Amino acid sequence: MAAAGSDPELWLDRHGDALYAFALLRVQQPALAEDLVQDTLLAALAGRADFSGAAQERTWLIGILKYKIIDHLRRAGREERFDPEAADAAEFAAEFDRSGHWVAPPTHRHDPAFMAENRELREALERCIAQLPDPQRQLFVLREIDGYATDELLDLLAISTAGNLWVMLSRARERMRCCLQASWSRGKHGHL
Amino acid sequence: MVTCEQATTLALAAQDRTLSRGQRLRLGIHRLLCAPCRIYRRQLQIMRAVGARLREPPAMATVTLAADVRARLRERLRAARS
Repeated sequence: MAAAGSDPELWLDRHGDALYAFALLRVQQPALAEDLVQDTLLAALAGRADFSGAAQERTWLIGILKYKIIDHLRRAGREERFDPEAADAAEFAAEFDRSGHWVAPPTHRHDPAFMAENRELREALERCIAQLPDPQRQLFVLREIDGYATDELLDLLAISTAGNLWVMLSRARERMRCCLQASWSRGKHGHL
Repeated sequence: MVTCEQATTLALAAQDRTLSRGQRLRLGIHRLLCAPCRIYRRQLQIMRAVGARLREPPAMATVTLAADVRARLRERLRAARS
């Protein structure tokens, strides 16, 4: 099905919720996510002659939305937002005692392939992402969900120092891991 | 031997960059002797695997556009077409 021949209003019916869910996970602000969906549909309308039909309609629209999200982050971003000194080094250090051993060692039961298919864990991941502070959340989502390489992130978000990015990502990841383990430990299927 | 705290820092760094041979060796030796840090690595692997599953929107919508928002977007699309 070529998008050029389809009714753009059908995009809203067929893909509106998916686009909104995609945007909301990444920006966590409903009004902003709605605006991004609107911008995506309008950009798709303006550029639909360029759509070859080789890609799925939703894939094409998600591709435009990804660009809109990155564009928003780039415009909203300033270098000082990515200063790791402003992040939570003390929180990370509190996980270990003075000799560098775990205060509360990690626990788990399942293998990664099984867990990746687990719907409850996916939902827990979404909840924990929502609890991450900005900009750790943005970095985590771009790196771990969208799979951007660190070199790409440096460029996309205009971060000048790779070291800063690594530190911010490490802390975001550690926060997520703690949140997931706490969430999962309360669940009926045991530990993460 | 590196401590659990140092091993954790290395494990997190390995998610974004290639560790030096020395770092890999120290981390590997630590993990041989430390079950919690082996579990820690597994948790990072699980998190990455689950994250990748969120890359595309779910087939079944988990959140939906409110009716008034949907109507507003429809109006904007119609206006842009005319």
